[in-house]
Amino acid sequence: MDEQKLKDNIEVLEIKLHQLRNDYMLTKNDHENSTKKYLELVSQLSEKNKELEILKDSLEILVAERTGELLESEENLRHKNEELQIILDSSPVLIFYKDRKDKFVRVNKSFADFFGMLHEEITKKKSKDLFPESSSKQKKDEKTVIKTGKPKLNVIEEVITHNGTKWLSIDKVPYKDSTGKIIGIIGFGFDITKSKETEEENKRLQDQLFQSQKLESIGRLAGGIAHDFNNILAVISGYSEILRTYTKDLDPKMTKAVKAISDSSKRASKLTKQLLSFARRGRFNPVALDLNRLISDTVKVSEKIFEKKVTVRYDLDDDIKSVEGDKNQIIQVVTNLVINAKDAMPDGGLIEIKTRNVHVTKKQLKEFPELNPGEYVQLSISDTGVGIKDEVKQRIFEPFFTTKKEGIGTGLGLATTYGIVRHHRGFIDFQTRIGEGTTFTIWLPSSEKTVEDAKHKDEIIRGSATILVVDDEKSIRTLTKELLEDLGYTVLLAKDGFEALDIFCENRTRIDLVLLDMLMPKMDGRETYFKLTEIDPEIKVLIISGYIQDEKAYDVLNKGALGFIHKPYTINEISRHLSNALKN
Amino acid sequence: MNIEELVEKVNNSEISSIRQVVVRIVEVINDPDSSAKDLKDIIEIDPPLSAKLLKLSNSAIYGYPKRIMEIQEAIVCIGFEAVKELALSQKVCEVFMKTEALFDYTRLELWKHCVAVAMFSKLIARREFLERGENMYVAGLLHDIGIIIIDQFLQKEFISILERESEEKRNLNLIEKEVIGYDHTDISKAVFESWDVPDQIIMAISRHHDPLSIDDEHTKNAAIIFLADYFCCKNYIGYGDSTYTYVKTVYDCLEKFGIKEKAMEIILSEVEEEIRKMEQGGFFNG
Ligand SMILES: Nc1ncnc2c1ncn2[C@@H]1O[C@H](COP(=O)(O)OP(=O)(O)OP(=O)(O)O)[C@@H](O)[C@H]1O
Ligand SMILES: [Fe+2]
Ligand SMILES: [Fe+2]
Ligand SMILES: [Mg+2]
Repeated sequence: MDEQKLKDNIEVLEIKLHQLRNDYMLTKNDHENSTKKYLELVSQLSEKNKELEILKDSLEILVAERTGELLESEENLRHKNEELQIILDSSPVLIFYKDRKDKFVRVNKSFADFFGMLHEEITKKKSKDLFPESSSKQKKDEKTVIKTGKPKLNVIEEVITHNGTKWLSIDKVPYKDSTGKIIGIIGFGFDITKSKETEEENKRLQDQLFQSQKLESIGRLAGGIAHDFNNILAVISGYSEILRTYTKDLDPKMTKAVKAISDSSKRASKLTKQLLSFARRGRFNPVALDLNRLISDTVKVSEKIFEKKVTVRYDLDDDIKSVEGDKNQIIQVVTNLVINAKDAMPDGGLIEIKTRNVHVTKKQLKEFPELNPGEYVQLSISDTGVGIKDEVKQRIFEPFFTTKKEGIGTGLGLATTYGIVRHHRGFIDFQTRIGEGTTFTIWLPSSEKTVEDAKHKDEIIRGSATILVVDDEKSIRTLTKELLEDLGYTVLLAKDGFEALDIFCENRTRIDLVLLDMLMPKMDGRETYFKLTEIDPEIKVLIISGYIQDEKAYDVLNKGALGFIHKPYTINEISRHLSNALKN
Repeated sequence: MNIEELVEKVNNSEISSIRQVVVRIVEVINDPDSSAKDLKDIIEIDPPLSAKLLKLSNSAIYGYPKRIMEIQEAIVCIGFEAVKELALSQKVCEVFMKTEALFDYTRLELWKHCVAVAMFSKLIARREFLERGENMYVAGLLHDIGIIIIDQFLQKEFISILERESEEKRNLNLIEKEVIGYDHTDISKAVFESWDVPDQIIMAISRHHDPLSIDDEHTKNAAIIFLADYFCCKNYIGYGDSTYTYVKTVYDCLEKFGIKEKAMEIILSEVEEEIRKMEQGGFFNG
């Protein structure tokens, strides 16, 4: 490569980087906007609540009618005291009469039973002696009913009984004598504890469902963007790596420029990888992991950068089961949670990290119908920090949501964590108290597999085999060819599945391995793979892709492909994958 | 026919049927408080447009795995921005629907040109000026509507304009001016003024063949459309009306705004790729 060509190439890379940066900033804004718009759409669903409101109104009318009927018969009932008591006692509604001085005149059986007292224990006693903890609002309500003669309906009261806290809906109507003078108050209480509880439970479930649907769709948006970026970045970083090997002996200025490009594109690629793992499309290399060891290795590193004021305490279960997962992703989860905990304690404090084997029941998984109950490993990270405000709670898992200063938080930490945990078929939850601290807990399915020691090699392994590269994108094709040739391989290129089949048929004896892109128009990687195996069932294939459309890549891996390489890749990575696959 | 009469004819013709949707989407674009629901309402008032949009939302271009059945879903699944652009381009397409081939020119090819210029302009605005570029997308999409209007209402003149263009090898707008006294940019300006399209968009369109003649706040936008128009024509994306543009103006523009020529090439290759995907996705089948 002569110097001019090199300069040109660097210029193009610089422009691309500049354009990419601007696009990225705008896309980030748009993204926040889309999130907002999406929330608006979701909130329209609450229109439905209005219908409920109307239903409630008509119910209220019914209650009022019934109350009216009861009142009408009051005159007669006064003269038929005993009959009355029998009738009252047969009602499931809690009924009481009080005089103007707050003394109970009569209560029915339901009322007495509800509070666990006898009829005689109640009558003639003042309500404030019987229920000392009743609220002042309640007293005021009753006074106004007596004063104005207007009933107060559907008053919700929390009461304490021998059976615990209960909720009553009470209609309070004035108690009039035959002349119409108000002599006290009559109450009808309905036990609504059950419906109140289910209502709250339903609301909570619904909120959670919205939350997870929202995150799913944001994830799809994010994934789409990140995928395109990744393809552009693959080219930028690939070429700058090539440039780097060539510029060694040239002008030091140029070496610096190339290094700057390659460094920035690495940073950008890290960002998009985070986005991809949030969108659950990232690379996924599951192995059995020892969470305890992973935690101590990871946190020890971060501990060094903490100021002394932050102490970390470990409470790790020695018998912890292994989990199957992608090591780097799980490290990312632990790091994100620990850094958030540290950030929440500007004046220092205590971080506690705990692992346990737990059994997760079907009930706990109500919001995650796709998960199976059974054995899980539970990891919780607690801090003694500032806590999370109610209005923030809703949004912490959204990508780009942050309360931190610009430059400190990108707001991707928890979004990524959420994506990774869900990708591992686990779930996440948190508990927080303002001023006291926060605990994030994740559950991952435990595994019976034993943990193996993984050895990482960073060397570049050269080779001499013949490789057929199939990719629909020209720039990627050329880049791969240059990389592989530098490694010593002979390379054939095909621009789609059809061409790949033709070339493979003609050169069957020469080709040692096929590098196959998954996402191609017309015939995709999966179909191409099956056609290739029809020609040669022993064929060696490595899948290569910007992201996995899970089922497809897994399907191909299950059907015998030798491995999966994620774009953008480094020379080390591809060289290692190739030499492993060819050894087989 | 003078230009006022022409505008009146346009406003009494089918062409003006796109007015409401276009103007309202432009409002959505320029109102930060507008919601996804506003957009959905605008689109759903127009059932044929809704149907077309749903069909395209489900095409391979967006690669969305599940079937999208409602506009609201489309906004969530393929994005607020994408649906805005799709709605605009499909609505404007209605004006180009009738195909009558004359020389190099067919209406669908002209539409393809407009879509390409729209995308190109948006990318210049984003990449070089760090602006969202949505108004530039609209301006790009509408920049050559004047040509259609001449074709429809001044057919005899238009035939001789096209003949002279291929003989004299000069840009269309210059010949238009000589034959009918005004050109397609003047027409667009007059029509869009009567439609209450924002000034920013009108000025970019009306000066897209001559961006540097006046130096004011509209120069930049006019230059964006001009550059996009030039690079699309030069590379034969659809029918081009600027094949014979004076190259010096192009370089002046690039220099004035500190844009590198290579930057245009990078954008060009993306636009070409996008147009190719759209062609495969049946986007230009009218
Ligand atoms: N342990 C915690 N205590 C209090 N607030 C927290 C805690 N963890 C997260 N948050 C809140 O949730 C927000 C989002 O967290 P997230 O990790 O997604 O982003 P970030 O930490 O702001 O930025 P990034 O992790 O990308 O650098 C934080 O800005 C903070 O307001
Ligand atoms: Fe034009
Ligand atoms: Fe044009
Ligand atoms: Mg964080």
